Amino acid sequence: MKKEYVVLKGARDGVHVILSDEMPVRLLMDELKEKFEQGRSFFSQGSCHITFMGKAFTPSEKLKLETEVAKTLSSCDVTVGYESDTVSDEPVVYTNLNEGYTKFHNGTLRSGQLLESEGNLVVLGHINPGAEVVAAGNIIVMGAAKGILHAGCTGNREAFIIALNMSPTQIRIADIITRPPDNDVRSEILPEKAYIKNETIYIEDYLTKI
Amino acid sequence: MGEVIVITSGKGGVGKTTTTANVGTALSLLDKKVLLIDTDIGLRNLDVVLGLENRIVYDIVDVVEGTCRPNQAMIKDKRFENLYLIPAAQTRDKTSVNPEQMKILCEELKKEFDYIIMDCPAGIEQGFKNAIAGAQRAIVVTTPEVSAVRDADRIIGLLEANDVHNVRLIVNRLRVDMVKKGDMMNVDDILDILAVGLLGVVPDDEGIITSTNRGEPAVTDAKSLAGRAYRNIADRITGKEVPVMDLEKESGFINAVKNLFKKK
Repeated sequence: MKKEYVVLKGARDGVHVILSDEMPVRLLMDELKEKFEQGRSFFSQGSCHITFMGKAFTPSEKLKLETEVAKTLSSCDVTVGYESDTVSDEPVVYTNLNEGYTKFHNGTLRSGQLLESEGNLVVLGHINPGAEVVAAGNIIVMGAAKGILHAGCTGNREAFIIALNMSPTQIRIADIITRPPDNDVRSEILPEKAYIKNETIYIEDYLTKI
Repeated sequence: MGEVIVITSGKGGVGKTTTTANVGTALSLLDKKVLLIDTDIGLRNLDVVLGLENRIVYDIVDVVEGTCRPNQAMIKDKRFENLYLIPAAQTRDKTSVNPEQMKILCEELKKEFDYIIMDCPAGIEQGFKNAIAGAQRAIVVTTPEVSAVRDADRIIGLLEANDVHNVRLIVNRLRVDMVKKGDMMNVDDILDILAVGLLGVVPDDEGIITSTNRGEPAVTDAKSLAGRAYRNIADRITGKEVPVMDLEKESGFINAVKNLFKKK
């Protein structure tokens, strides 16, 4: 069976047109046209709202879709909307770094454990290798951070990570990923802060900077 | 078109992961394009043994769920030109993947690689079923202990029931001195019980512990006896005829040299 990249569905608020995100919109236009042709008798019955969904559309894609609707369903009373206008698929970048939701976790995170926070995150314990902490905001570790740390996970590059012992497997802030150098030998362990400067993650001594 | 080989044992701790890392590395040193897949979801180790833990961004679950393309999840080993790893997920469990998905993935990846080696988890549950789903060949690892051999026997039966008929055996951690004294099963005893082809014998070697801790496979160490055994195994996988090392002679010689130094 041929795979369908365009699916039409009836819904309470009109017709949902779901476009597969595996294909660019311009390659879907023929299939879309065909689907509209088939349903012309339905669309001409009365007014109808068409919602395009399945992916985030760029302005030029929106224009293309609207032109197609106007052309194929010219005689019908239809309005066009997009799912992303109402509810966005993309997570909103979390900006509330200085105040707002903060999760406190008491205890050590062991390998295989994943701790997530919609806001900031404070871990009162160690993060062992193999454990992962992910927060939309900042991360503070009152212990040894040896696992994977991901701050600003929804895209905030201002987010930072502070740990009493910063020896992570990997550090991620927003969309930037880094790992410690292979032969990282330190004479003493001090609290350190990781943050983004010039698209790069920097780690510096925390105590001397305050 | 490549071949999918699963490395399994039933019992835990007999050296599946170490074998996968070393055989994979040895094959890549023979100019074969090799992909290692860790199927031990929730208890991943292969990345640590290979020293690639801190490079993981995507894992096998991301690939299967379509979060990323297989190529994005592959970690290229800087030290070995042709060696790639798809790690297991650590914060998920074995039910995140099913055998059908593994089969499809193997079929797709076979086109790109000469060998795909699956590191199987211990046990015979879902993880095992995932690991063997796409395999044409199996390497069963056992140690010369009754319990390990018993589990290996069970595994060979299960492999045959799942249409994996090309099964070969690796006897791992053999101690020649104990065999000589009659305190340890010898290779022939094991082969009598299991009745499968022998792929190789790997001597017990302390160097393996240091090399796995450092994340450097033992095959790269020219002096390591176990490393040599793994290199021979890789040769045999490619179809070359290599005689089984005479461990008694080899370790006898090494011990003799060691003793010589001790005396001084």
